[in-house]
Amino acid sequence: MKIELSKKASEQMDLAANRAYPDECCGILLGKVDENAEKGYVEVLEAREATNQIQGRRKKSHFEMDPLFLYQVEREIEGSGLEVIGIFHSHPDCKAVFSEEDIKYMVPGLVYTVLSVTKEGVIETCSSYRKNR
Amino acid sequence: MKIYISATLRKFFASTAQIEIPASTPRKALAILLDMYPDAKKILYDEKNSIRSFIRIYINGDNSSIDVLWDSVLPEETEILLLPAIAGGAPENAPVESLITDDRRKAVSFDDSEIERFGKHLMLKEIGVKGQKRIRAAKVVVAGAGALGSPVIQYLAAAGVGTIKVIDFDEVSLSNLQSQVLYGNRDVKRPKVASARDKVKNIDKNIVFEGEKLKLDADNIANQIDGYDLVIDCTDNYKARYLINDACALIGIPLVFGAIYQYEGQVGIFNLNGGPCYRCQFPSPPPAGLIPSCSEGGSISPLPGIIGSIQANEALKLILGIGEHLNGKILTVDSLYLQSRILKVHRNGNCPICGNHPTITQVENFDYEEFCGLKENENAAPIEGFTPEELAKRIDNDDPITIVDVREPHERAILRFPKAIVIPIGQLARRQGELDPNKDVIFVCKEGKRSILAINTLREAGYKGPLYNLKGGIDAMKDLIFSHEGAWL
Ligand SMILES: [Zn+2]
Ligand SMILES: [Zn+2]
Repeated sequence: MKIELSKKASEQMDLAANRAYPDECCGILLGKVDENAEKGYVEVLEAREATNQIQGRRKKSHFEMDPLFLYQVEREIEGSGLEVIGIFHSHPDCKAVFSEEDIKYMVPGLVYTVLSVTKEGVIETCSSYRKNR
Repeated sequence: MKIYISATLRKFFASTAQIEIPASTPRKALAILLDMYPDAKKILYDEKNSIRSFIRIYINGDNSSIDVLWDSVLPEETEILLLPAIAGGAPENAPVESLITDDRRKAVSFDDSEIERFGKHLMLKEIGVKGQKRIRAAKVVVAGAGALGSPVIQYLAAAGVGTIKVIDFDEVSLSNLQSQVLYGNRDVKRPKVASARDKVKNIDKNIVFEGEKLKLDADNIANQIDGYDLVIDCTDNYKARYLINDACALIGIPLVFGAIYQYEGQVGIFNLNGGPCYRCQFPSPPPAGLIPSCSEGGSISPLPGIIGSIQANEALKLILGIGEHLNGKILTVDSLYLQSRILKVHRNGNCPICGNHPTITQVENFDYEEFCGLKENENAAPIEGFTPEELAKRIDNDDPITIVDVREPHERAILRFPKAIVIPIGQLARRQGELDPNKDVIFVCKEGKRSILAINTLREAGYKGPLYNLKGGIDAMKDLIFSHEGAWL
């Protein structure tokens, strides 16, 4: 599966990660999937920041999104040609690798992007596609 | 019922976004849906047939009601949403960062004698002058100045930790000297914090020593630990352990936990960088009657030295930000068979303190006695007891009574209870025939807690005769026994 992040989506994610620092940010990736292309092709066109619902200090190392926010976005983009294709979040002062907890919540068939962010800005971005459990 | 399927799950439902299902209850609706799309089964349910952790089911926009509504008959216009839970956490094995900021480190300076004193640390490339300054800047709380506190306090002082606060309400007793190497004969009957101060100041007079002679409780703990870099739990009971964990988790102070029992000890680090807390692994303590606290249970003399030294070592590594550490892990050391293993503790999303939706948001004046099962169950028949004086009188009068000692063999070896028959709690139900139901039976243990468990056990097993507890246990009777020695010993 090839994943292509558009410039716009990257900028939107970086902005969200920097703004939320030192807390984790999270959001939804919108784009297009071409399943007919060789081995599949996903184009991430837009990143929509969501509210990280975790309260207090633990927000620095955890995120949780309101599932109803996803529901609203899905309804809103119906018929627009865009699809919900994944989820992004940031790891402040920590590597851009998925944690055990991140993996536990992954839904097969979605793109997951994690950004490593420090006070200097986003230093690394890693995307993965979850095929199955 | 209408079922809406999130775009993120649709590929398992042949791209269906919305479907109308004629069913009366959510459970039936979901069953019909899964009959239509069998592929989706593995996405909604795990191997054990419970809903997967990443699936959220909403009924009319509400996700809290599904648990009670599964089998409720709901109107036709009910809308069910199948959505994913979207959550995650940072990797737990992130490299250790020093608990001490560079600014605080830079504010420390050493004189020549200190350079000489800490020379062995300065030689280590991971520590050096920078690291030693971090140690000097650190402010550490040691909760409990007993068996574990003894090595912890001494090694922190020797290593040069700048501020050491020691909290302990107790005085030194003769029986402490077997394991509490901070004290000697001359300290007996002195407050532990006073002796600890002398010891620390004798090692290094530049250390700021703060001694607090008090018992930690929900009202004072936050004040005692707030503003410190690290708490080291050296207490010997579950009540203190949960209290300290809860306070550290809520205030956000890393905790180095330690515990010993007989020949086995444990060390772990909790509440560090969003890592798990003690409750994530042990939401509630084991039945208190079965596991005596260390003050009841006993342990081999060097064991607290081993475990406390590991605690001090972990504390220094956290202060320095070096090495691998026991964050979210529990190291178990068996000193009898020389085996050790590491148990991984996972953060529990449902943890009442550090979970995603905590239910405990301040250190509460929590009824730990009840929590630990120490309190008599109010619904059960009340347990009657004798005070030590009452029991002594009945013994003096030669009343027809049976005394049952439920203590462990090693405890009986320290102080035999005369005229008592010995039945371990585990054998009570089976051996109830040895008791005469026409006589009053009095149960004794060290503190009068396990004896309550014994009585409850017998009652549950159907024993009908009168059962009594020795209030306060043999501890409360000790002085009395000796003063009446001639009468019946
Ligand atoms: Zn993460
Ligand atoms: Zn927890």
